[in-house]
Amino acid sequence: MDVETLLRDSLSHQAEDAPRAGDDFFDRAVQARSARRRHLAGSVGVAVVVSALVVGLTVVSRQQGTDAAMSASDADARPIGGTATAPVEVMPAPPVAQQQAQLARDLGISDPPAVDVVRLVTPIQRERLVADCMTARGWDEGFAQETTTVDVTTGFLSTRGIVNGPGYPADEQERHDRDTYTCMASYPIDPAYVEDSGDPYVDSPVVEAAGPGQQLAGYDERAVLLDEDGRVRAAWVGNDFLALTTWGSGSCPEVPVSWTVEDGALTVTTGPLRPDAEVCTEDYGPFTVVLEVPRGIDPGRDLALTVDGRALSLPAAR
Amino acid sequence: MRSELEERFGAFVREHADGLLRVAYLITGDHGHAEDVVQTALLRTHDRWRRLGEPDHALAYARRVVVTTAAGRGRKRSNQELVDLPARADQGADDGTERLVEREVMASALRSLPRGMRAVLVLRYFADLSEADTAATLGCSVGNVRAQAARGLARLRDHVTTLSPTGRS
Repeated sequence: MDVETLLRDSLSHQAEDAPRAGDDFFDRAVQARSARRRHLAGSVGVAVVVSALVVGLTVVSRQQGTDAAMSASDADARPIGGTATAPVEVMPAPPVAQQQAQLARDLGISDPPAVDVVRLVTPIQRERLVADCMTARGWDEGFAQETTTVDVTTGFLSTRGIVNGPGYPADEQERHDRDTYTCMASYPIDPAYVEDSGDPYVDSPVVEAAGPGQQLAGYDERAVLLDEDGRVRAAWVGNDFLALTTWGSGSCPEVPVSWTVEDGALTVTTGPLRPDAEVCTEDYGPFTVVLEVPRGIDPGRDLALTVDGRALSLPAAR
Repeated sequence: MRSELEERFGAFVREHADGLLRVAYLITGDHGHAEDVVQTALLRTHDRWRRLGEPDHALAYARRVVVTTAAGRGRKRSNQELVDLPARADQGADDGTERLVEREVMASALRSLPRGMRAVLVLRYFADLSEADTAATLGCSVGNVRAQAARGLARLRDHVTTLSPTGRS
């Protein structure tokens, strides 16, 4: 029997032992989530959870604005990543040593090499850094540079950053695994990173968000762009981040819901943060998200930016 | 009284929860973990039910959450050792000893693979997804799926050849 047939047979046989969903399967899930939320509210930090719920994103605590509701612990927090999905639950990443031990187990490495941590990163940052690290070690891991589209409303991504290269000989597997370990262990996920339920594939480039009325520090004022109607503002935040501000109802803000990078140009589409909202306030305020500058965009050059069909040009960062 | 949306979601759960559990179980090898993963996926699907619109989209989304969460690098259960997938010796008697041993060897070989690679094989050879659908589910390229599947099969072949009492695959 060939290995494919044997595999199919084995999988279907093993699947017979899978648990069955009873009638109350989903109800139990809802109850468990409620219990987890009560627990998290006490142990992870009420401020983070409340921030996430208010902004509607899993929020990082880099905002340095005038929001009087921010707690001291928020203000002291380091820049960390977040996802743009609705907050289901929040939890910190495991400690670095635990991440590295798990990584070694995942890769089947019983004697992992000693690795110095270069720095703590967010998941999206890690993808790039690991791809670069593997490339530097001679592996053709590739990295999609042409087009990346992320729908922050649903969490769907049409493409992802890392694309494996053409493969390598079987006898290179062990060396590849060890290099993978070294590269990944060099850039652990920041244990302060707050995410939702741990799906590594719904991360978006949103690394920061400020709700209506909040301000973000760190703009390069020279490079701030305001469109004719003042409805869209874009600015570099250092060389690694790009802030986009849109305006709308404070309770139902319009936010970037997808973006595409192609030939060095960035195209953004906005949409309602809460499409299901039945009632929206009639106030008018800014909503800002900060994106990690997508691969393919050079902050040293003027950026061709299109927001909802409006073509704009953002001057290069310093 | 439940809304029409809730009724439709309930029907979705009744139709697909068992299938999602089977996929999760084959990747994680653990009943409790599989249930956690699928419950998480269903909660997230429920939260997005209106936006997902079509049941096919909802199933694709739920499967994606199941697979990526189950295949993730142990972020939720990084300190948990997975239990072995049972060889189902009690139900293998009719197939003869050799077949039973082959299944046990294959189950052992599957357990030795990284979870991401195992997920590719489960989607391709159990869920019968195409390479393109597997790539979409995992959020990676078709080339990546092809490479992972090829490497996974090669490793399984090595295991089966090495461990099988007959020494053949």
